[in-house]
Amino acid sequence: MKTKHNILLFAFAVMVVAGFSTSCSDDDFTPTIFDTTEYPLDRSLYSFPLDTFVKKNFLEPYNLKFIYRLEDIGSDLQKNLVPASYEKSKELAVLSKYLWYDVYKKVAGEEFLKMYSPRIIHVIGSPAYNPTQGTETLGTAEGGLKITLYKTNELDVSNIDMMNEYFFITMHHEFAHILDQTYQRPSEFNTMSAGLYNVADWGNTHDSIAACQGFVTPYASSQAREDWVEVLANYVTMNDDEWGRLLATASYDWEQIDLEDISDYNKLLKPGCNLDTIGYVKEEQNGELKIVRKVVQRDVDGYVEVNDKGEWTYLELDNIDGKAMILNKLDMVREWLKQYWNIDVDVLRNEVLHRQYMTDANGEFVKDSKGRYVNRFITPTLEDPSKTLMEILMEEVDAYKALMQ
Amino acid sequence: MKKILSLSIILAAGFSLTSCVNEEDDLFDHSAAERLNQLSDIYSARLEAQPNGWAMQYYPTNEEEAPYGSGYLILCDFDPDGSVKVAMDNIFSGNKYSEDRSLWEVITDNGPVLSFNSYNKNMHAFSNPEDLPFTGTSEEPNNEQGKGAEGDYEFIVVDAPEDASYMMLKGKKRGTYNLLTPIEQGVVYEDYLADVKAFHNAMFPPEYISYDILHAGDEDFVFKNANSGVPTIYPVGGDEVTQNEFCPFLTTKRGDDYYIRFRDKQIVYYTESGAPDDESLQTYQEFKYNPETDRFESTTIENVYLEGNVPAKFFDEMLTGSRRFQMNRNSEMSEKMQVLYDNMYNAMRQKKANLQNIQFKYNESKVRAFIVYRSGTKTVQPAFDYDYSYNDDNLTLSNMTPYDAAVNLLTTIPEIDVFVNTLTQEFVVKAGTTRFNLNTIKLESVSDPDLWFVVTLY
Repeated sequence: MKTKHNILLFAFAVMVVAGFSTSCSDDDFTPTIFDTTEYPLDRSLYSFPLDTFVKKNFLEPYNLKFIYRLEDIGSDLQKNLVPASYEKSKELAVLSKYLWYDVYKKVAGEEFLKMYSPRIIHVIGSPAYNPTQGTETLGTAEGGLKITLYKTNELDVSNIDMMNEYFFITMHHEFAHILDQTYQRPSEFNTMSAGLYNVADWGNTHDSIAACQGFVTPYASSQAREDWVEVLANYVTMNDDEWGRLLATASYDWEQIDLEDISDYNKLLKPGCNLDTIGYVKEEQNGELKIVRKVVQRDVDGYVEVNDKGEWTYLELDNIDGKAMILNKLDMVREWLKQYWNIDVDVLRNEVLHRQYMTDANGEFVKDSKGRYVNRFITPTLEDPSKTLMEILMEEVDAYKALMQ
Repeated sequence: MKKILSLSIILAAGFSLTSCVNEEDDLFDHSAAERLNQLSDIYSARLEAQPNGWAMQYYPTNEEEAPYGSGYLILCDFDPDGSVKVAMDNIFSGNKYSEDRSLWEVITDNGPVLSFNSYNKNMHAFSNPEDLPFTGTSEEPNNEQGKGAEGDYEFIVVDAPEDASYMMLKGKKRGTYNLLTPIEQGVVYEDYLADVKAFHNAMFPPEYISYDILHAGDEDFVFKNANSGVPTIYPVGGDEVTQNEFCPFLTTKRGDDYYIRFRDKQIVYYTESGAPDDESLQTYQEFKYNPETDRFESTTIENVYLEGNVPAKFFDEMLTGSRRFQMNRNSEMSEKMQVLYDNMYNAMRQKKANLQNIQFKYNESKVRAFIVYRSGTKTVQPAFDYDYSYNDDNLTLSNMTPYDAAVNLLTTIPEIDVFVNTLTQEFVVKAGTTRFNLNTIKLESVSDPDLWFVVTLY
């Protein structure tokens, strides 16, 4: 019995071995068809200067592909998009290096960027409209690997508010998502504003309403993950005046009421009137008019109640201290950055702001006659008054023209 | 045991014989990726091969509505350095000549794809997702924000012959076919576009009151309002509204020849003779202008052509429809006619009458010729009536009768008598320059072809 069993086993083994030894073994594997040789860039190409710049400053140090030629297959196929122009791509490339990569390199170190930098930045020329919501997507971050930036063709170096809103805040915002995907924000953050998030209709939330509820921006009020990164991105890019105004706004309760006719509002605008109590007109995406105003004591007819000194009383109705909420959120962000990456958010902010705005020889911010911070990019530099900072930054790309054939 | 072992060995041998018996031979020398890369290089070289670039007949979409489905002539010069110059002059460039340079590449997508992958203000005007200010009305503005005109900026290379004599591209997302034809060396882009525009406006004048006839097989079509590039086309005798089809076309120039080409292939109607078996004779798309016949003739089918209206018929329709025709001293006319006119003009000057023009108008079944002149501050228009008849290509003016006080002029200025009597004869009615623009009509004497003059529709 045992012998027969062994024979059967042996026979089975022979068949198996025969099967393996006679199966399709004639595949002839050749060397890879893909050319893996590293070639230098073609110096005869029109795009050689920018291609060289992004290779030297992004690809080689950080393994980051800065893609400025639109790759349709890598974009949102649900949207109609157009590429960025070559000139605007140059501007965005130098600004990305100066205001983002060089900042983190200085504050967090090169290794930090090598580890956490996105692998792809894809710049697109047009906005990414969301027609049904009446909004537009400023940027996207995917899986910690890729950041897409839109509206590149509207980059205006002379308008630092626009650059902040559409590019620099977006850069820090999307980068913060990448970091959040690596070490997720504290879970208690998600409950701080529970019940107040509105993912569908945040686009109709006024800045002041969002602030008094403890959100740095209306977009922050869409959901907790956006709230988190908006705190970081806005704190880092807002100057002291802007941040102060945000906190001041957040210190009050605000309300939004319907406005039937604009003439009703205009009637209230008389010399000496106070916009705190009258409010600000806002048009929603559906065309309806609203007034956004601080919450003050009013009589039954809606008029402001004033005491014999002409003062009115601000009311606190929602039990939310917007300012305190924002500062609490900022503290959590501060602690998280420090804990996981040893980054001091105030040092980070200081570095960003000093690169954006003019400072004097003592490092103090310079302000113009209207008390506004001065855009460093379009101001002649102290080192070479014949050139602005942006011209000097662009020379980093144009220098490669000398190597062209 | 021996049986089991033998059986096992036989089975093992069976495995070896049947394994891989159906393995396929390689059909290509290279892998798909390698072949794609090679094609990319080949097509790039062919785009660069034309030293002065290409005229691209671009259609943003297959929509049956202007401006999204209309055609736009775009000139492209592909440089080996990876940049392309793109020029155009149409509504998307504010109806001004515009030129811009950007980057291009033949990428390997699902096949070789020509991609304008950095922004060009001309090429990407059709795909920019912004509102188009020139669409809609003030009451009902179209808001295209988020969509734009929805045109392509990436094109599948469908056909690119080795001699680079043309190239056919297909929009990657919208699927429109866009033909590229070479532009001759030495031609300046702005001049080329101005030349084509001038020809197009001459052959298809704006606000043109007449129409052309498209002969396609056994059926004729009215072809009108073509200046916009989207003509109204309907069968002769048919209904202009319900039977009109959206058939955009573009005008181009190759060498010394002018062409028009529809966006889509059109069917030839062989209702009487029956459709031929040869498929190439069943549709038409492109025409070449023949100045000798004054027709646009199909480049593929002999009896398909586009020609202007019959001049005599048009002249009669206008005249009897209360329009006027006019000539003046600067109008085109033969030498013989010029002498008669100048004699009349000078004779009237001596009488202190400044001859302005001659106007022809229909009045109670007669043609009335007005001799319009200024005397001091007054404008005077003595008139002479003619019996009028029209037949096929000819018209006849006869039995000249001065109207009212005009009879005095015949004696006081004999040169007027000579002139108005010269008009009493049969004329062949021809186009002034082309039958496609009958705003000018040539009247040529049947008995003396050296006596002719051109009148302008007024």
